[in-house]
Amino acid sequence: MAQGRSNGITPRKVVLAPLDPVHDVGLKLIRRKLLERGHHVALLPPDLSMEEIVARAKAEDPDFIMISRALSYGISELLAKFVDLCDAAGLRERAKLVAGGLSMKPVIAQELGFDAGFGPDTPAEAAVAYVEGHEPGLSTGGRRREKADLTAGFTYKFRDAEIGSLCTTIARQLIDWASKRTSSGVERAHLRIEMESQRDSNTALYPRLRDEYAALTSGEIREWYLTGKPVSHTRPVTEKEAGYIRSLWENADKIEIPRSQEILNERNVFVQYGTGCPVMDAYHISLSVAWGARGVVHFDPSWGARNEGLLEQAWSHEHDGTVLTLDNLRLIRGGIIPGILWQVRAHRGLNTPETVVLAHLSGADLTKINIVYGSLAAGADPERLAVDGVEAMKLAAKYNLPYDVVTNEELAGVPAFKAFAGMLIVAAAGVLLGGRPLLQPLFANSPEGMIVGYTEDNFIDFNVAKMKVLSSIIDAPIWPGAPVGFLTQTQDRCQSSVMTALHAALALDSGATAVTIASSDEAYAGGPITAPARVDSLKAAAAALRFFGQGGIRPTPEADRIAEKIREGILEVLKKVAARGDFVASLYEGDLGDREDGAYPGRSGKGTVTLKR
Amino acid sequence: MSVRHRILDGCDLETFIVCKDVEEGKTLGLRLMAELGFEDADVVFCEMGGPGVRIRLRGYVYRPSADYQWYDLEV
Amino acid sequence: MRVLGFAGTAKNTGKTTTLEATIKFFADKHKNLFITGIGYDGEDFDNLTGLPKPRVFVPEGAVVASALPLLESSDAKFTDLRDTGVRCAVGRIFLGTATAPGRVVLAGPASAKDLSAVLAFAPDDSVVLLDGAFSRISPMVVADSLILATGAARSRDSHRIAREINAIHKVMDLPVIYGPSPGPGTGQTSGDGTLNVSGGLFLPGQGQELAWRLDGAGKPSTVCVTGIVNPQVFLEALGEMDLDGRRDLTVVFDHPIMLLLSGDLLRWEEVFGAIPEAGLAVGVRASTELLGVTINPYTPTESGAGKYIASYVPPESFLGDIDGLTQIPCTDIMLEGPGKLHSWLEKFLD
Repeated sequence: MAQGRSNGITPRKVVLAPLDPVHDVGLKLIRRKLLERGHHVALLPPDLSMEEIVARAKAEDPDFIMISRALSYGISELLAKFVDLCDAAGLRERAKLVAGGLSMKPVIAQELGFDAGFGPDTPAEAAVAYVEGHEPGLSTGGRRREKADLTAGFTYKFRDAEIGSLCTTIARQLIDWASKRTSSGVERAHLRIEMESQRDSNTALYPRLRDEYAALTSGEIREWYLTGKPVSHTRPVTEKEAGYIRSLWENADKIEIPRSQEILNERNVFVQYGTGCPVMDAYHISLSVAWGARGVVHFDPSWGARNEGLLEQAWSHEHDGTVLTLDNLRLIRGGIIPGILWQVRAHRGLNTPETVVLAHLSGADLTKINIVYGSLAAGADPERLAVDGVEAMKLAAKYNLPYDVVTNEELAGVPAFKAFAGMLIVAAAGVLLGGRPLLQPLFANSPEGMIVGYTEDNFIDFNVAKMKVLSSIIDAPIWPGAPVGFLTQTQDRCQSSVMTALHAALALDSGATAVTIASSDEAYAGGPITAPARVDSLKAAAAALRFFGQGGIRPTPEADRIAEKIREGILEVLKKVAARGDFVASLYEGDLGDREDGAYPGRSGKGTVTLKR
Repeated sequence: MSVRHRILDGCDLETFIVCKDVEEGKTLGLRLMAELGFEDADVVFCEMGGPGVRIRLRGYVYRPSADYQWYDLEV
Repeated sequence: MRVLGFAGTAKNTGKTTTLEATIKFFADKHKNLFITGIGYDGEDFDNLTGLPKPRVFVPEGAVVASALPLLESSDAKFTDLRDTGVRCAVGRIFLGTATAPGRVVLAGPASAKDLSAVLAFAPDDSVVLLDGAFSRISPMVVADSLILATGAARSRDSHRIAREINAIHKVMDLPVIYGPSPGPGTGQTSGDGTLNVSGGLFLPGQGQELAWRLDGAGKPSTVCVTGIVNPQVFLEALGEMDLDGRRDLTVVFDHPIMLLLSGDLLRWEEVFGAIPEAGLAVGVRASTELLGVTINPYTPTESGAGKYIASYVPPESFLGDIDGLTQIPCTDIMLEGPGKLHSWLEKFLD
């Protein structure tokens, strides 16, 4: 009996026939879903002969006949016979025949003569959608093709007036200070803009600009510009390899994700790629998207942050991290299919502003900028990165390119309250410069968590506390990463995937706009991440999200206590930095993380900042 | 040409090996990978429990930047 | 347009091999071919057993109706793609013309209704080859002629196979009795002495019901039964009818294929034994010519949970036994070559 609803759906008549008593659970579930949407359903008993089902169906004159039966070689002939009987009885003049059950898939349904076939992974909703006139996806689920705007709806207003006022004061001081200074990193970014605008149109000017650029480079990068000698462990991408990538991208937009992963369509789960080889990256991006990743993050080699200047042309790198060049990015860009977000990180080294330029020129959706982490835990000189970081934020604002502000210095041992103070200052500067920053707290078993005991009992409270405190301070998007679960994963892929998945579920459950996850190889250091390891954690994330649903994860009251302590700490740090009146000096002096915390002001680019003429 | 060349990057083999301790388990695991023809093999995970080790072994067929042959040859 | 169907008594009875040999025959004769199928055929490995399958190669110029993704991925490089408007379980069915000889996977219309819609696109001068699937035969009502494939995958018992072939042959050989289209089953004998019975004879009790109707409907000279007929139910009807004084009664069914869909085929032996005794005339309103039967000694054998291996019954004795016990021509193409098949195809062309 239909429980009719005025929901604008044309009610359909559906006969459901279990062909054996064990396999009618799926049909009963479909019946409930169909009735809820106002369709007319007759569920036949499971002990009827094929002929009796045909006769009963004939009496109903249905629009759909759905049967369920676990498939085997012997049973297949019975199903074929059923199809024949329906056809000969004239039922197919009107009714569509649908088969479901273990081992069923579209090609078998087709061979048997059904109009559609659904396997055990098919949710009841897919059968309902088919009844309502939507063509079934073939063995796979759908893929959401609209690109998410991670910053939409956020006002960037400080909810915590006291902290907001301090952050704004410090950020203004930083912007003002930086506006009087420049660096080779800033100059190269502007040279790159000019070079790319002249590359094809002004063949005379381009080489001159390139010479100017080369003069501002250092180390192996400089050597390449001057002599053409490749940087260690790199070689040019061959035409054959570029062909591999292009042929992979030809069908990239046809990727549909398995139904079991469809839950990721509604969540912004990012993965990092950066095997060193653009071809391998292309495959890893493709398979990550195929298993439901909604965004991918370009991971570059660590030496890219320490040398002045970025290479040109397409390069393959034998070690971790894929070389940042416009040509590499453009090769990879082909696989960033509709609906997928692409982040090119620019946060931590001597090429920060230029990386934002490349991100823009290659069509990236997001970048990553942070002055504090790059200065205290990633080896860049604070003064240099402050100048470059402010310029990068200006460029990102100009290009309308949102960026996250990460707090990975927590991994070194910097307490969350100091890291957050730094992140909030940089984010406040970003907003003042017209940009759209995203806060990226670390979800990890950080040294602080272990030493203070925040993670003694569980990994929920400390992370939830971070979310609570940040969202109580400012109305800004929060994107935990990158990736979540640092120092909780082991080399066991089951344990690793579970930890990653639970951290992802926790992040999204506690209000995160997006989350970046690791592969199940996160804790394995013996070689590159493999494709199956990427699939592992995406599968696990989908399973965890399915498990929790709207059920939620419940922190203990400790989360509120930790949140309050973090807020107090942030306030104290900000007061100190504001009182110092010189953000860069505070970086050097350890206000945002000192040697005792494991934070050391970097030396790369030291002494390269000059006052603007 | 072996089907192995169609493997995108690495091939993991997970099993339980009966042995007396972790070191023996790892050694046997790597011997197994060598027997199977994986030259670039490693132990990703190995944990002793009861009669032996739960082990995950990995043979890299292609590391990044290698000369991939996914399409070139009939397998 | 003439339609030649390839039906089997079971999966793996050799339809694809017969189709393949037939395509080659017509290609050599430069016939305009229009090829489609009611299932899914031509893939590398069987979807259920995982065993290798024969492939379907089409010649340049052949028009193929199959799901679009399969045409697009074929090395026959199809051109002039046209949407038939019919959808099957693996996609929308398109027509394409092969620009080169090549391999194709056939996934066509599953029902007689959809098949008719697709065949409406076949040019008048074309030979339509209609590939079957499993033991499905219902859509073959649209075929002018039929080649039946059977073999060890149906039963390793050659005697049983021979009996089934004979039963099918007799059913397919029922005379075509032309007359007015049957009206709705009113339960009353019309002016021309016809009693129309709709809904078939395939459920227990329907035979008895037919006998009662016959008794209560005056003295019809013809009973037109539309729908599926099960031999057991027909026997039940014969047993219930008061046939004394009805020696002139003619029973007309839709199509012989309607008699092959329900129940045990071997029960037709009993029916054909009982009909002369009852003094009935039995015929069909339309038919499909059975050209011959191909015999396949191959059968997949389960060798453990869900794993199959290919096995064979002795081909010579299997074919010899069956051939000796049947009246319709039989051949094993792999054993005897395509000679007999070619003679049937010549007959089809005539």
